Amino acid sequence: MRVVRYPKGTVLLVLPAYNEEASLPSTVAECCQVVEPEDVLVVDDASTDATADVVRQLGVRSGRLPVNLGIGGAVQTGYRYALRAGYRVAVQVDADGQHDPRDVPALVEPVLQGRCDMAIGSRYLTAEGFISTLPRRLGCRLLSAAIRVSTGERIADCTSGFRAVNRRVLASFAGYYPTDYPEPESLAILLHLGMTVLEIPVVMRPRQGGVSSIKALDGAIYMVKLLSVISAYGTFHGTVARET
Amino acid sequence: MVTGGQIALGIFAALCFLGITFHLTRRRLLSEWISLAWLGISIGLLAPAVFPGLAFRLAEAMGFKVTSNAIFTFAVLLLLAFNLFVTTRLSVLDQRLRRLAQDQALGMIEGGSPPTGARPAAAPDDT
Repeated sequence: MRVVRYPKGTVLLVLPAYNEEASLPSTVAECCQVVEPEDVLVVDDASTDATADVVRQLGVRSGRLPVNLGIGGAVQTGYRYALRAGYRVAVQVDADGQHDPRDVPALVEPVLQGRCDMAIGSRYLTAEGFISTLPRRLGCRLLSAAIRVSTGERIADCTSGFRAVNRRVLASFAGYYPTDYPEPESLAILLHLGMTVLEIPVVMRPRQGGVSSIKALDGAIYMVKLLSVISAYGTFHGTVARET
Repeated sequence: MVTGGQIALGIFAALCFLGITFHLTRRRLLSEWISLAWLGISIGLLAPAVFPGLAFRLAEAMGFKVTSNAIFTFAVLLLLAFNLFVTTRLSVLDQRLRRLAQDQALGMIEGGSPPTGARPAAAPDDT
């Protein structure tokens, strides 16, 4: 049964996809239960598998990047489209099925109500669901600590890509959005700009297909890069609230 | 003491470098600003090759005890500055490529029918 909650043109779900032919159909089907198919946008990041063919058959909005730009470039494409098309809220949803689209309303509502500029689906506010590997959890803690030291605010899940943003954030991210592993850095940017971030507890699932774009060595390099960048942002004037 | 052979070798090397720079510029393999920078560096190499006394006097005036140390220091600083210039250009090109790729994808996305209630393309743009 379809349970569409938002009128067309209000909330855009952005699904960046790189070689996600296996998981994309089920993820898109779940997304279409929350918004109309026209409000689901798949950005194919120059996949080398059959993702492009799969997307064409799904009946949702899609665009294919001519060269692989990385997750940041794909997400920014979606944000730029949302801004241009007049959407009030854009939600990034991973195409690999880790994010449950049924949680989208919980992220969208506080943004639509003006209670925050960005709502993050946080997997660390509850002890349920898929929590990721130990090195990644440690990395996430380190980044959270860096953001806390840099900004004085505490964010439990600064690496979550499950995020809803309003037009103010869209305008900022359309201008600049980090390329690799963009979530912690983009979060630091928003806080630096004085925007409000709200964490919402969600339960994440293991990926349903494909392989993660983040490898062990890359992860270590990103960590060094992110810690440097977050430190460089210095003080900010944002506020962070948390819902439990 | 600098011998005539050493001076000839220095001039030969500097002229070779200058020739390669001219060749690459003529074949449009270097953009104007970068070829100008390389031409400047070529002339900078030629000057001490023709007048080696210049390098000795400059190094002495700057407090270097060994002239070769001064030359290496200048070379490293110059290459560092040039590397910074090149990476800056590379970053700009990277940004432009990213925009271009995104614009192509956006054209594909907007080619479909716009969602009802959405503003037309004249909505505030980011570009």
